[in-house]
Amino acid sequence: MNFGHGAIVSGFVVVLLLLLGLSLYSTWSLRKKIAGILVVTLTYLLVYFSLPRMLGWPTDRQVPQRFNLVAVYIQEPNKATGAAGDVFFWATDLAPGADLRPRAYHMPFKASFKSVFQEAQGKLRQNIPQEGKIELDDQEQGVPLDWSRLGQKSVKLKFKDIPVNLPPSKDAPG
Amino acid sequence: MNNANFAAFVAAYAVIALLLLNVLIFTRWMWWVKLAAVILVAGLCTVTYRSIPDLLGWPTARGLPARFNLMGLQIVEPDKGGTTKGNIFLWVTDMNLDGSPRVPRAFVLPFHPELQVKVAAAGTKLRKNLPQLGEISTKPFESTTADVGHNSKMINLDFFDLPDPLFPER
Repeated sequence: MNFGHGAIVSGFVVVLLLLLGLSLYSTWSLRKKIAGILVVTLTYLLVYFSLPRMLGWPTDRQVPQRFNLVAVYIQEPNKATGAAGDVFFWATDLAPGADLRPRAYHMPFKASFKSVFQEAQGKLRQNIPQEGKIELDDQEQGVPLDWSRLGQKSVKLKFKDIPVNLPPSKDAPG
Repeated sequence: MNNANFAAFVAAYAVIALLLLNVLIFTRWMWWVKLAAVILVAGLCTVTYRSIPDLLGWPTARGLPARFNLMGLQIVEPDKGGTTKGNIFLWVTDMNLDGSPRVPRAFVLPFHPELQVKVAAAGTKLRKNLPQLGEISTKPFESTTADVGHNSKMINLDFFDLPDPLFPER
């Protein structure tokens, strides 16, 4: 279920109701009630100012099954720093009725992802729009070396050229 | 993403838990009202916890770095009917980070024809493998914002070619 901002606002409302209940019906002293109100206000401000800082960063969830690739950024693994490498991409969901704004995604670095993304990036630079498609990999992968990844499903990623809607040729009939 | 932002949310949850605890201990509410409060808070904590990932990845209108490396762009022009005012989406990495791995962040700016020209030109260079440095410009647009129908604050940008890091200057 996608609730987004609405869920956070309703969370705030519930806290407000609890605070109201405490202020009206608890046996607290006035000082404690004022302290409660101050703490809740401070928390509201904290969340209010923290939320915008969380926006815009890539997400590693909800990668659409079909997407229009806008841009790619690949960070290769670094043996010196121990960084595992990352693949960041920016894409719009091609599902009917989906939000048309591009969304930033993150995937762990894989040699196979790198090659397909680089190929797609090359085509984007030639002005050939790219449609990405994610499929579950049905092949048996064996037991993962990292046990924390047990149960995770691996995916296959494919790109294909999106035909550009060019104006019809003057020579075309009709 | 900064861990401090997540810490703020955890702190908010802790405050909710404390309030609930106080409701359970210090009020003389009926037991079923208290039970309903517990169920409501548990449900809302779950929903908000699941909602935060829904907010991630989408472009933000705030916090565009003063200097950035342009990674990608998308321009949505306003429609003639005036229902859509148009937007310019930018995917950038902050140039001011030192040493730490750079994670691109998505931003949205209100559409402006002058900005569109600059961003489109930067995009053309980007496609030619010429990395682009973007800077927030203090110069105002020549045409007024009223012409383009946006009420929000317009940001003007300048773009420059970045030197290729593979070939340092002598």
